[in-house]
Amino acid sequence: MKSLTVACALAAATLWTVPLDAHHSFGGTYDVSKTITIKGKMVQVTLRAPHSFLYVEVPDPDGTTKQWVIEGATAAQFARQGIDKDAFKIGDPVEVVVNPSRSPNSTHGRLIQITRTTDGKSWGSKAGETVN
Amino acid sequence: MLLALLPARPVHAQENSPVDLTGAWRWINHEDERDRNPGAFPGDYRGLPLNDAARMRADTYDEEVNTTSSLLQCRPRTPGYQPKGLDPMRIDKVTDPLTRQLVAYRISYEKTPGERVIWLDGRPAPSQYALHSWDGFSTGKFRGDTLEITTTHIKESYVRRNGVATSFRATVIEQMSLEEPYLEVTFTVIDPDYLSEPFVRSATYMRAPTLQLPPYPCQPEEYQTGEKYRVPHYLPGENPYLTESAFKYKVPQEGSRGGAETLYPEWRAKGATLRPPAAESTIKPTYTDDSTHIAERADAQPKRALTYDKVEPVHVNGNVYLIAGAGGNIVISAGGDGVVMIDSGVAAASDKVLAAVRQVNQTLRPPEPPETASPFGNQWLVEHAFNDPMIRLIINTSSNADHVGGNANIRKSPLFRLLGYRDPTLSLQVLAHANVQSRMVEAKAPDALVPTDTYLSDRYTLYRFFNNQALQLFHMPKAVTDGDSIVWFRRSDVIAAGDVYNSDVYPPIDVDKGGSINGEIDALNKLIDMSVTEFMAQGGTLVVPGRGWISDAADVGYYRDMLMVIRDRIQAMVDKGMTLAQVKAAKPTMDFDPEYGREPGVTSRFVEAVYRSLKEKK
Repeated sequence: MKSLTVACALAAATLWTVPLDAHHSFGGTYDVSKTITIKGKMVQVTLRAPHSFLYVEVPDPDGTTKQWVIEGATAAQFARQGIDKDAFKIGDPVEVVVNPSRSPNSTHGRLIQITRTTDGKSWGSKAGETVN
Repeated sequence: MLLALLPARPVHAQENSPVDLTGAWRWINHEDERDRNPGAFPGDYRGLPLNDAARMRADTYDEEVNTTSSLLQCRPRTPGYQPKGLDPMRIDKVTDPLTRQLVAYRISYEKTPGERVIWLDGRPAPSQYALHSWDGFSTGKFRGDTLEITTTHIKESYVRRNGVATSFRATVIEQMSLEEPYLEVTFTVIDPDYLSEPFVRSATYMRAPTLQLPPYPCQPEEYQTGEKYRVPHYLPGENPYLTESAFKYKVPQEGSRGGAETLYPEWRAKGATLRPPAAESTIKPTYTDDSTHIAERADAQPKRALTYDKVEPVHVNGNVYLIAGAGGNIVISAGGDGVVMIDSGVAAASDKVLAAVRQVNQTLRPPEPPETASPFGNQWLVEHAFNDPMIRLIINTSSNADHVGGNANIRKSPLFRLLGYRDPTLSLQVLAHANVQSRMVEAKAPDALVPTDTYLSDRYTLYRFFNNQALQLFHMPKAVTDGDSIVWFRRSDVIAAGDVYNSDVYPPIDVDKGGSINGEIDALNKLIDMSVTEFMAQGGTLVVPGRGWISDAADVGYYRDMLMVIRDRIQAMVDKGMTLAQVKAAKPTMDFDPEYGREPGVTSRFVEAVYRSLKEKK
């Protein structure tokens, strides 16, 4: 039974990692071999096609803030994985793991995992929660 | 008995379609997996017959531009890439309702803005000045059981998602063959600007009868709050990622750089002697092939007298038409109130221009009622509207000779009948920004060519609607010159851009007349801000360039991005203290010359203008 469960999980993971349509090249835009973690406050959530964007305001040591633009899946793909407009709210404190942009000095990233630090709600930590 | 069950008459196959391609089709992902996920890496040109101009363009490309530009975020794929784009598709028939003959196939992909039409009725291609689209203009013909599709009028695009561009001059040939339940598609990109040989690929679709195409509400995102628009790109020799794919895929760097040579079996022997890079590094490529000499060859062309044999009117939108082939493009609004003419072309073409205006006027005859400014003008219309067209006003977008040259001939034509007062000294005749008049007076231009009426502010709105729409001029203070105007036909939603935007040639920036590269980029940004695309970066507001074909904001966006990249390259050279001669020798525009530098002297003049306007901080 256990092996069946594992097999099903693997099948599900395989199903979800079948490449959905990246409108542009994620591998070209972001360095997919690296991840960084940013901490800040959610300031905008835009669920849309072809990709969604999360905007996170991150405090700098000098007292200013930088706006990070986090690119995620299409709205339809997020919806299938339980992420809708109510999942993360404006003002939520979040910790986000991203593939950083290849572009020098860019504050863009590709979403790998996001966690609301107040209650631990997260996306990206379970099998199948991927952005393609 | 059995014979009675047979159909009384045979069911004939369509003459122009021996097989039926209609239905829903699912793309099969069994090739190019790495190219799809996570997507092409920078510098991976394996299998591409690209030339050095394309290679330089891709080497300096930064894929992040697809997220910084709202015009690129929803950019659909063109036929030169679409079959590699995962999208399911649906093919339907378009039939003549009277004869039931097949006229066209209509193809919808999941992520394209509308339905692509493959005309099977032998119709000719549209004018060379017609709007280019993401789908282009396609005609099809069966060769045996294979449908062969030829597509032209395609917007600039890409063959791989790492900056390997296809030009707006590219043609795509597709062959669709039905092998139930599969549809095999072979597609070939022929690009005189960026490929040294035709580039052939294939894809397979499988019949999917229950497949329903989902909606695709692609919403461009303007997220650079408070920031000016930027174009991410690398200066030549500074892209750190060009060896990444060779290193990761363990192939020789020479093979990763692509080129026609690497596509042939003979190259295997050479490739076997080469080794993959031991580590990733920043390389400084040199570019030397034939494509890097486009501008020099253009300069070397023998001088020929310009001829204006083919002056043709092309409908733009609403009551606005382009008259092309008379030097600079002329834009007219024609209707019940007469004709307003934006620019007048060259003097030598005036007779043909007037003939084209008459030809446009013919198309306004009933049953299509002409539009007029006033509902109280019906009687006036009955009496006057359908005689010879009356040219009421000329507007000049700049003082450039190919835009003002016909002023005198048009003014003395019997068709030129003014708005307002009968006394011509009291009426608007030729309107332009005041700096156009000043520049022409300074240059001692003949009086009959010089604008008679001017405006000084940043905008000018004609005192009344003309042909049922407002006409507004916007001054672009330091673009090609210091007197450029763009003219907005608000109801038809057409902007006559003058030389601020040329679809297929570098802008003729004249530093001595107050033009500058940064002012030119500002003007293009203004033009884009004024434009609204219909859907997926296509259509909507149409922009008629000073030279070239009817465009939309996406085309203007490409042009602006190209100028920003070149501006940054030349600025870096100025910062290093390079002289103009050194900058020209370094060929900072080489990768764009195939598209914009094909006319004698254009590239040299453009580079000099950019250099001077940066050096002199104009």
